[in-house]
Amino acid sequence: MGIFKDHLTELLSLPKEILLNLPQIILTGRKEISIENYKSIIEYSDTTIRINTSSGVLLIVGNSLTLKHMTTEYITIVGGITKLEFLG
Amino acid sequence: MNENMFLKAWTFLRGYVAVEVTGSSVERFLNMTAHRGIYIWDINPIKNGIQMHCSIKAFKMLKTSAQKTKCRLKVSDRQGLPFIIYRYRRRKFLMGGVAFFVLFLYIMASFIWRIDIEGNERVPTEAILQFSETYNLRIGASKRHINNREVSRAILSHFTDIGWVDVHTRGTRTTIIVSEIIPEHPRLPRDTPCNIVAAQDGLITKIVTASGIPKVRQNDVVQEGDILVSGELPIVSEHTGQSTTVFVHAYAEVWAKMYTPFRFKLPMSYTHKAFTGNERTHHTIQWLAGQQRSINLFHGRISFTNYDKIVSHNQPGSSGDYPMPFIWTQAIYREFIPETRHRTLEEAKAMADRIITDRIIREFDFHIDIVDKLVQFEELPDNLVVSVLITTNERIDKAVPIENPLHEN
Repeated sequence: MGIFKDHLTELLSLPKEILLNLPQIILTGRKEISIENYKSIIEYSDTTIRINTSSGVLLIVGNSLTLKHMTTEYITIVGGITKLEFLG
Repeated sequence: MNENMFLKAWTFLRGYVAVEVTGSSVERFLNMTAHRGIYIWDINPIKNGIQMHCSIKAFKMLKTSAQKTKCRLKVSDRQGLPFIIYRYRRRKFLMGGVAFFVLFLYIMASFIWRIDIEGNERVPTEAILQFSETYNLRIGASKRHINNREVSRAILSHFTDIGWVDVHTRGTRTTIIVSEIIPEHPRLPRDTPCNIVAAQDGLITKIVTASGIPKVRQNDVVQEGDILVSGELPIVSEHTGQSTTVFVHAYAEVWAKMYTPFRFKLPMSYTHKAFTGNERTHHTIQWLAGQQRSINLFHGRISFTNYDKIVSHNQPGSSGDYPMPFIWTQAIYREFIPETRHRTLEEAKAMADRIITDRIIREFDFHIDIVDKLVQFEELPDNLVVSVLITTNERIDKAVPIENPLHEN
């Protein structure tokens, strides 16, 4: 089913993040990061944030990180971002 | 940026709180909040937890999430209008005053305090204002009783010189923009037989005839009413020798030189105002609502024997959308001592030159060629007599229909 959907979106050039439920991550310089379609927050502190997404756990490392907005499908983090990593 | 401002204004009106959430599983609390569709913002980590912002309504919904995740909630700050109202709830007069003020502003903004008329040159502004009053459009009228569309339609049908109107109200100001029609020149139909006659006296400088028989030549002197080009064509038959007359529509452009003399006296002495620097200012507030009445502010007595009075009117807010319902008038009285002074001949001549230029601009149409200007001065003991002769070159042709032309068929 997953492969079929993948092919279908490729064929019809549909936005992947909607059909495949993938996270869309927008990085503005190294000051702000927006994640659409996230699942949940696993860890939250001012230096490390771990966010669960359907593509795996996203690790954000930086200094003085704060959550600017948070809604059901959208999260915005601001601060000095030094590292982004997908775990697992 | 703008969107952000609206968001800020909205959160201020609704009111929001800063909440400190402490406990072992703050992340779980955040997830639960987000999944329940509660909007939270500006989340900062603090010792053993977080500080976050949410609306008053959202805060009430947070309590169950906090109980489930065993987190403790503590309100650390309250912001916004609902809290301000709550704080002053006991001060009845203050609240009443605020409410009255808001209501007063709302009511005053529902009237018209200024009417601007733009675009009129021939139709006087007063006439338009007076006519608009019959349709309730006047200063101090309630906006609810005015139908701008009706007013514009009425203006259009009442003033024949106006070809287009737009009446619109913004804030407490109504603007009437009119466009006047270009006056039509009465023109004879092309098939009407006519002569070309002189409209004014003059010396012919140029004559270009398109149809008809020219009766004058260059350098001829003509008087008003003289036939310049005749529309009467005598035709002699080659065979019979009989002559018949055909009437045509004469057409020609005739230019002529004209002389306009005028003279005036310029007194050599005049009164000079030596301002002493003493000034008094009177302020007046003219209230526009209801009975128009004026309030005089700081009106001291004017003890000057000779003074100039300079009055300026100013309606506050007249440049924006909400002109105020009063006019601030400032009258400045400036004292001077009259001194009799004499002009030198040069000064008088320069003054005469200015007067002449002014008269030319005022009295001659802008499309008339001014060819020459002759100025003569005559010195009298007290006066300078200035004689001016202005030479112009302009069209003098005028079509006049021929009465009872004998049509030959």
